[in-house]
Formats: sequence, structure tokens, C-alpha cells
Amino acid sequence: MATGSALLRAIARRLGQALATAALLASLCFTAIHALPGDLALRVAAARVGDERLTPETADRIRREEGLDRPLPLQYSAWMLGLARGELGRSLLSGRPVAEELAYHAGFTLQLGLLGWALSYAIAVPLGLLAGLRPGGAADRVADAISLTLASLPSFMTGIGLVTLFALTLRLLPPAGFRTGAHMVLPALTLALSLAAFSIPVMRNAVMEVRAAFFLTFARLKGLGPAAAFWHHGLRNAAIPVVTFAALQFAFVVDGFVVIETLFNYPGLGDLLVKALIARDVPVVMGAALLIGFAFAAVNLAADLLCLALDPRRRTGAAP
Amino acid sequence: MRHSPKITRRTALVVGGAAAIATPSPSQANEADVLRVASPWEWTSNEPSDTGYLMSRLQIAETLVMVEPDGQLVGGVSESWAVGEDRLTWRFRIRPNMVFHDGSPVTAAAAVASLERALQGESMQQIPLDRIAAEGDAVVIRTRTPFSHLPAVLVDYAAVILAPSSWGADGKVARVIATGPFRIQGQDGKTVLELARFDRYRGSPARVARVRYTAIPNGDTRTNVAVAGDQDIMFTTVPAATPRIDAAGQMRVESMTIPRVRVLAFNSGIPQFADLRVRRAVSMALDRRGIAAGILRHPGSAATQLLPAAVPDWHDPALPAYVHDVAGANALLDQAGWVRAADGIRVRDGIRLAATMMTIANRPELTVMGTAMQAQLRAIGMELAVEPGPSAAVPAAIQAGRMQMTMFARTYVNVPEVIASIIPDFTRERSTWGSLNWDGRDRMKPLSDAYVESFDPARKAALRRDMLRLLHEEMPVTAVAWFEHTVAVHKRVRGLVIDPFEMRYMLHSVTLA
Repeated sequence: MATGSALLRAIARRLGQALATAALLASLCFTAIHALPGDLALRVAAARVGDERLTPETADRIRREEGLDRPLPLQYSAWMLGLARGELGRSLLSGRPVAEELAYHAGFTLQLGLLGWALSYAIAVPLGLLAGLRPGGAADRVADAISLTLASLPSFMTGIGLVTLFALTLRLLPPAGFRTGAHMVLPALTLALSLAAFSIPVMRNAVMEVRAAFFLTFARLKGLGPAAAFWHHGLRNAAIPVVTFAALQFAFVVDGFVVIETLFNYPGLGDLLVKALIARDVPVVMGAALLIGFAFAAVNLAADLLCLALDPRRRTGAAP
Repeated sequence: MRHSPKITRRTALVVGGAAAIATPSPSQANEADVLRVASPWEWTSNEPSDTGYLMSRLQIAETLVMVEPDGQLVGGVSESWAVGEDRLTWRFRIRPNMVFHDGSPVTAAAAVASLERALQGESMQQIPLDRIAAEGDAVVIRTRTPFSHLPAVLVDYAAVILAPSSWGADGKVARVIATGPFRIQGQDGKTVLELARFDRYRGSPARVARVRYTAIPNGDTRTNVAVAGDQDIMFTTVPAATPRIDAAGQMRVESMTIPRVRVLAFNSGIPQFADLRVRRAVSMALDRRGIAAGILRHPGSAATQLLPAAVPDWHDPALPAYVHDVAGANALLDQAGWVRAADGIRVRDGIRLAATMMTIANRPELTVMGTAMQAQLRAIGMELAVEPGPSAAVPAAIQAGRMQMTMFARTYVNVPEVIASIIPDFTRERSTWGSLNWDGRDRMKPLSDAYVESFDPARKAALRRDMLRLLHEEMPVTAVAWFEHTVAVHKRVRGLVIDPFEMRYMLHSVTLA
């Protein structure tokens, strides 16, 4: 059995790997953004002063002031050196520290992400359980129809549908914004429905698999009723694939945010990233890539640890 | 029951945390008294050269000279101004007893310090500046050559006057402390600004006590918000959404034709467009009324000359309006020696009458207009490829001499004197936003030089007519459609005035019913 210190070492190694992967991702972003056609300083200038005030002189001044005329390897190594000191540089657009901008926008993404994610499982867990306990039954067919419909709708369609119904027709909720709880409902629900579309079938299949498992049959033979057997022995086993899947869904959370945040005028990380890409705000794009990459790896690590807690066999290295 | 508490606890944590997050922020008292204003523009930085237009539009900051919606120049931070006998030395008298938002006095020295920073920016570099200094209660600006429209150039938002306390140690603007009828009370990222009435304002204070500004960059989201009536005044709504917003009954869309123009510019140096007859034929082939009615949903926005009547000085009713005449256009091209080939496209000396037209992707109507023009130009035997791209690509292509044809949106009143745009657009071989290789620039330059140096209103009027006629006849560019400035106004809003120069949102006169 692995000792506590071995586990800690493993966690530290994984975190180190995560940071290295994130830095690699940021470096790829640096390469990609410089490989895009067009003059970077001109794009930054257009984003700063607006299209109609854009002149080659403005672009030249920004190129000089921001050091964009330095050779690319120099710009890159300056960024890496900064990173080693824990600095992410300043935004080319606002002049504010990138870390400050990321913290502000990531806070909003985290709020919306947690709320949407929790809401999605509030929808998916009961539906998936009902469907998986009676495969082919009425509940299964209804859940299947719901998840299929939601999965086939891109999240902006779901969002527009919800806005049209709740904000424009029923006038119950504001159509966009971020400053009160009421503003959070529609974007969180849009995110939740998009996430639930895929977690309902995963939940259902996990429950189905466990129901057919030998240990559950054994529990029944032992004399437990179907509900008690599933409660004591099934639920925990069924949770393992769901936890793994939930971590993978984090990728969608970031991805789906771009659309949802734009539609709801919500100042999250996706919104920041899109605007930084349009403005070719290199330090912000790299900082965001670093943060998203690291967060993705950290969430995966957390999921693995959770699986370890849920499944004692994994701790001993025994085959599941 | 051994395992269940674990799951319950975890679930409770997540749900509890989520509920805490969803709790509304601290109570927002007297919300009904707040004037809610929205537009597409985010507060990206505190620098006047970048975000000055928002400081000026939201009436947080003011310039030495300002412009009224009717185009008249009036005093802002300065009370009055005069140019000396030498026609080079200008004195702008600072208003007495005026204070900044932090209570510090507005002095000529403070104004000079603020202007000196602005003068480093590109938009002010057209001023042939000799020196600027504070003398007593006046800002004295001396130019090297006579520069008659200096007061108009000082309306430029980059030249807003900020208090000395605005700048941080790093030379950047840390806080915006200015002189406008509203002061910044709070800020939430780039999206929301909370403004409060400045009670010690130089004129009569604003009618509303609080303004909340929200930036909503996405056009569809702006439409939804306007349909729901979730703002009081929303600037720059999507034209196609006007019927929906009006029908919802919460807000009404008002519009005004402004001196912002969707312009078609030619590279007059390439064989396709070097001949004036081709440029005229292209202009005659355009169905501007059809485009204005069908795509822009506003028949009145079809251009008849470069600028609309909203700038009376630069709109000449005597000029013949652009005509839509396909037969006439074909005749012109026949005359110019362009002969139709088997595929219907004209050819001369082995060169096809074909061009790629760049448009700007973030003005979606331009691409739609471009595809309509594709069909209209085919009728005269010209092949057009439409290439939407980022806005910065257009000046880059003009600078590189690669541009063949482009359609963009251009405001000719960055400052309330059109000459400030005429000079960079039409007197250079390679403009930033305008002509490329236009041979008429040699005739334009003496006219614009004389205009800048002249202080005689009658002489200036005659020069304006000459310049407008030259542009109209020689067509380095041709205007396709003017802009409608669209503003959605909530039914509880009273007293809103729309400024065609887009310098101010005129919120000071608004009241809430």
C-alpha cells in the first residue's frame, strides 16, 4: 500500500508536470499568434485607439513602447524569465498587469462554472439514475430524448432559447449582465443544460454497468433489497466513471464559456481570451493559456484523487 | 448507510457554495433613480488617447473647446479664445473658479501639463506646434504656420483636460479626475462604470444624480437588452433590430444621419481604375437606394455626395447627386476601351476588369453590401471579389500599395472640422483610410493648404466648395451610404438630444419620468 509521503510526492510530480505542460501550451500560443498574418503592432493599435484613429504612426509608437520590435526569441525569453520570477507581464491593451486581469475574469468564470456544473449534476444525476435503473423504461426514453435534444443544440442556441423565453417573453429574468444573482440564472442554466446533455448518458451507463456487476448480484444474494444493495454497493462504484467524465467536462466549461459569456455580456475568462486574441494581446493570451492549461491539469489531478478515495482497490495497486 | 454521509456532505458543499455565489450583491438602493446607459465600447484603459472618447461621451472629461450638436464651437475648460495679429499665437482663457472632480482648482498650468501629454499622441500631431505655455489665466499655443482650425482640433478627445492628480508615478493615468458634469464613482472591470453628478460643475449640474454605464460589445445582446427594456438609453443599436425593439414597447429607436460614411475607395494607380471613366462607371453602377433600403433598412442613408447635410459646411446642395445609371456606366466603359469577353467580363490590353474589394469583418453590413455590389458590377462587366478581414488590414494594404478596392466606414468628424480628415485622406500618395495613388492629390493639396492658413470665412467657404467638387468629380473614393446613428430610448427618459458629432451623449439634460 502506498504511503502518505509517496502520495504527496506523486501529487507534487503531477503538479510539476502540469506547470510544464501549461508553459508549453503558452509557448505554442506565442508561436501561433506570431505566425498569424498581419502586423501585430497594427492590430494592437487598432484595438487600443479604434479603427478610425488607426495610423501607421500609432502602430510604430506602440511597437517601440512595448518592445514589439525586438527579435522574437528575445521577446519569448523575456516572458519565460518573467514567468520564472512569477510575473506574467502587462496587457498590451490596458497596460494593467496580466495577473490582475486574469484574477478578475477567472473569478467570474469560476462562479459561473461552479454554478453551472453543480446545476448540471442536479439535472443529470436524478435523470441518469432513473434511466439507468430501468433501462428501456419510460424514464430512460424521456432522459434519452432530453439529452439528445440538448446535445444537438449548440450552447448559443440553448442560450438564445432561454433568453427568448425567460427574459424577452415572460420577462422574469434580465437578458444579460453579471452583477446580481438574477443575472447568473440564465447563463448558469445554459451551461448546465449543455453539460447535462452529455453527463445524463454517462450517468445512465455507469448505473447500468454497476447494476449488472457481480458484486451487486452478490449483495442481492446476501439478502439486501435492490434499493439497499444499490445504495451501499452500487452508487460508489457508479460514481467513478462519472467523476472522471466530470473532470473531462472542464474542457467544455472553458470552451462553452466563450459563447455563453459573449451572449450574456459576462466578463469571464473566455470573453477576455477572445478579445485578447482579436487584439493580439500576446501577454494576456499566454497568461490565459497558462492558467487554463494548469487548471485543466489540476482538475484532472483532483478527479484522480477523488477516484482513489472512492475506490480503495486503486490504492493497493490491485486490478479493479 | 456507511457511505452515504460522504456523498451527501460533498454534494452539500458544492450546492451550498453555488448558492452562496448566486446570492445577489449588496442591496442596490434607489435603483430607480439611476440613469442606465449602454453602448458597445469597453473601458479598456485610463489613457485619453485610447479611451478618451468614452471620457468625453460620458461627459466625465472636457476639452478646452467643445462642440454643440449644431456644430458650433463653444468654450469648455476655456471660457474664450482669440488668435493674435501674427495669426500664430492663440490665447485660451481658462474659466475662473473652476474645479476638478477632486476639488483642486483648474489652472492654466494644469491644463498645459495635461495638453503636453496629449500633444505627444498621433491625433494631435497635425498641429504645427511651436510652443505651449501657461501665461496667467491663459493657455498660450503658438504654431509655426497659420493653423486656422486649431480650436476645432482641440475638441479631439485625446486632448481632454485631466487634473495633475490623475497621473501615477509611472506617468500613466491612474485615476480619471477631470471637469465634466459626471465623475467616476466606481468601476467594475471594463464593463461597468458608476458615475455620480459633479455638484461643483462649472455650468448647471446634471439633472440626474447617478449614471450607470454598461459596455455591451455584442450586437445581438444589445438587441435583447433593448427588447427587454433593461437600459434607459442604448447607443448604437443594430439597424436591422429597430422593428423588434420598437414592437417590444419598452424602448423606442431614434436615429439621425451623421457624418460617418461607408466609403468605396479605389487604387487609382492600377490599370483597372487609373481611368476616371472606370471609377465613374463603378459609382453609376451602384444601386445606393436599393442597398440603403434592402440592407441598411433606411432609404434615407443612400449617399448623394461624400457627406450628409448634418455637416452643413461640408455638404454642397449644388453638387449633382450620384446617379444609378447602368446603361450610362456601360457606355462610359465602352468609351474607355473596355470590351466584354466571352464570360461577360470586360478586358482591355489583356487586363480583366476585376478587383478584390477588402471590407471590414466587424462591420457585418459591409460584407453584405459587398455581395450586392458584386451583382451590380457584374451588370457592367466587372468582376468583384469581396474579402472581409480585420480593420487593421485596410491601412496596412494601403500602406503596402496592395489595396485594389476597399469599402470601410469612416467618420469625417474625429474633430468638428472635416479638413482634419481631408488632409490625411486625400493629399497623400498613400493615405491611411482613403485614396491610393490618386492623381488629383496635387490639385487638392494647394486648396487644403490655403484653407488651413485662411482666417477669412468667405474665402474658406469658397475653398470648401472647390475641394468638395474635386472629390465629387475626380472620385478617389465614392460614398455608398451614410450612417444612421441609432439610439434606443426607454419610455421613462425625457430630454435626450443626439449629438451628430458623437462627442457627447448629452446625458446632463436627461431626466427620468
